[in-house]
Amino acid sequence: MRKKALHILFTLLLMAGTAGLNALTLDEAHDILNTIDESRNLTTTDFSAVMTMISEDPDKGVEKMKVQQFRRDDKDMFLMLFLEPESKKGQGYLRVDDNLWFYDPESRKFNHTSMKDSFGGTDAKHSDFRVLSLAEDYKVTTITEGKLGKFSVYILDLEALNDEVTYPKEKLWITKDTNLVLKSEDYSGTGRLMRTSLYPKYTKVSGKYIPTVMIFIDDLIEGKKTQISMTNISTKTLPDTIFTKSYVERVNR
Amino acid sequence: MDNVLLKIAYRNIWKHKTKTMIIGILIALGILLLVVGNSFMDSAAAGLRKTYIENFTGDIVITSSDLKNPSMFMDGIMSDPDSAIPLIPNEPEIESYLAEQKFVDAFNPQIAGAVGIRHGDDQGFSLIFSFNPERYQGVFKNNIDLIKGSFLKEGEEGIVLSSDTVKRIVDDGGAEIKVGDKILLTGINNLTGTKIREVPVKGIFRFKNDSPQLRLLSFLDLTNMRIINGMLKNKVSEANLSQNEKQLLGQIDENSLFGDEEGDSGIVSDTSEDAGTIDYLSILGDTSKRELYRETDPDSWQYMVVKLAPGVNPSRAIKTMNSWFNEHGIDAKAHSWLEGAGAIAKMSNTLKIVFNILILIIAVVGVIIIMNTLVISVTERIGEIGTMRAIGARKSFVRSMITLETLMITLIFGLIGAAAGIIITAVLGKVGFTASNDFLQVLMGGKVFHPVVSVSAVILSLIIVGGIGIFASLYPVSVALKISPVKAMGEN
Repeated sequence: MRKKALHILFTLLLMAGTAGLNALTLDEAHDILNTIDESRNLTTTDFSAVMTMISEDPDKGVEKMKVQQFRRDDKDMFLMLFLEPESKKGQGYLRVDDNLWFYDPESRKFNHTSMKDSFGGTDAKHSDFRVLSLAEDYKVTTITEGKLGKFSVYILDLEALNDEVTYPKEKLWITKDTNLVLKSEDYSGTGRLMRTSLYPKYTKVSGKYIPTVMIFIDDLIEGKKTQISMTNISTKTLPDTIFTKSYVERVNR
Repeated sequence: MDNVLLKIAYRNIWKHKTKTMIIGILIALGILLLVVGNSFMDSAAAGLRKTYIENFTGDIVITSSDLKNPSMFMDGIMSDPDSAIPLIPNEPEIESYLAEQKFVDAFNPQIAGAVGIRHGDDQGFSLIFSFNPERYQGVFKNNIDLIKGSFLKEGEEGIVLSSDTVKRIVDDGGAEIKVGDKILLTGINNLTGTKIREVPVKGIFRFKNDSPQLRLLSFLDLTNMRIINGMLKNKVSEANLSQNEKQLLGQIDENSLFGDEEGDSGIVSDTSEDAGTIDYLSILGDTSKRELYRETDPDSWQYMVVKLAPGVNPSRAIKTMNSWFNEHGIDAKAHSWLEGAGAIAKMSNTLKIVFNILILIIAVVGVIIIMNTLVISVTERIGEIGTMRAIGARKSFVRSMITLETLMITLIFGLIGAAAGIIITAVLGKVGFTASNDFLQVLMGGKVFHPVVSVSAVILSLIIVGGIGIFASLYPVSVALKISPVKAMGEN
């Protein structure tokens, strides 16, 4: 009898302890989503970086691609120039407003697509592809706490608020102190794990945390994975000439 | 004896006119359906065969054995754009082998692809075949009508557009495409990514034996097609990875990935506002190496189209070729024209099988109906058969009598049905059908369909009718033979 009472007391204490630890409310968790969105938003400054993408595929092996990125998000401008592989060096995508050009240095020709044009013959338009926002597109359903490696994290379960998002359910592992997403799992509507993303490295630029290493694991095809790393990150103002067709041609001379 | 049997059978058929007519009409209708239906199917198959063999598959298509779907319309590639059509290995060796074979009339190596087309601000799409123009015309003689301009010439850059591709662009509100206009072609491959080529329009054509699939095809010169497909002389070297990048390959251990000490210092690297001064004009660095990936491989081919000498059995030729590939360790495979023709042609073949199954069902139903009517007829003649047995008629006599009766009905009405089928098919063949949609056009093997009486269909229907006659008489015969003469005469 005494043993049983002790057991109940121990359980109650444990529950109280957990309740105390689980202090984050759903509203506060939602604020974290806002913070994450905010850190992803680079509309106030220009942005440049070299992005290295290594994809592993059980059928195709390992492929590496290196791209120089220049972005001016508030003006809807970007330029992406391939640095590697050598066979694609100098190819580039230039976006200015609703115009998207692809440049092939071999033929020295641009191919123009309007963002207003339909996308790949479907009803979707390029302009339909807006940047998704965690805070606007998802609601937090549960909050738990745990550890990821040595990091203490909040684990948030999210559910989509609309059908525009790619994944109806998400799970995020967020550091308690800095609100950095370390890991996310994307689920289908039926709860099937589709993709796991890992963010093991960040850098702080102009007060914003930018992931410098990202790993995307395809949970549907075993062995399919992509790692992306960002180097030479800068938020210095870029010359206006960067976002022009003539720059793309000149850099290829 | 035979005369007696014939007389009795004739008398019985005449005596039971109504029943004879019911069975007869059913048989005649069945045979008519069989003759007309199979003639249609055979004519459509011949049309389809002609469309494909004479326009783009030849009798045999050789590909790499790694190619899962040998359809020259790239059915497999369309459903998985990431995959590429593998090249035919040891292509020059295969060419020498084919040149020595007496059963081979002509052959032509080809490349296929898909491109986006831009003419000014107008856009379109086309499937592409690329080949040595003279060799192509040697295999596919006089198979196209040039509407404008000229055909491709060896060593000359350019595209000959299908009239349907031009029509689709113009129908979308685009400007007219003229010979000499320059158009931009864009295609994607796994090795060199997106490629853009500017080529002059050399001509506009249509296939003489038109089909909806063929209308998607345009012809492009080899150099540009190989550039768009990334068919390079120098192979792209393997990815050069740093130590850090190699560490992240394979299985990821999350505990070690996030195993550094907790806090900013563990995960956030040195804050950096500035990556230093960027020399914007030297971003690409040394660009000399990329020139290596601009030279195309003149021996790279995806398909070898083979026309056989007249009278050669294609299945036997395929077997011979595949044995030769095996013996010489060449990873190539010969396929029938049907495999090369892709999904739509295969679907048409499947429809023929479905039609034949339907015919079989109709035949079974016919047998049951005829059998039933004959059983009733035999039951009505119990007394007569009993009397015949009583005055000494053997079982074999009764069996022969009923079988002959059935055979006479089925053969007479079967012949009437076959004759009607031949007349109807011949009339429809004269009039011709115009396919109301693309699907029917593929099935019929052309825009206007003229069914021709198929001799094999007539022979087949007569065999079936004989079979029905014999089969349908089996049960009534067994009923008749069970009749006891005493009982039968008593009932009488």
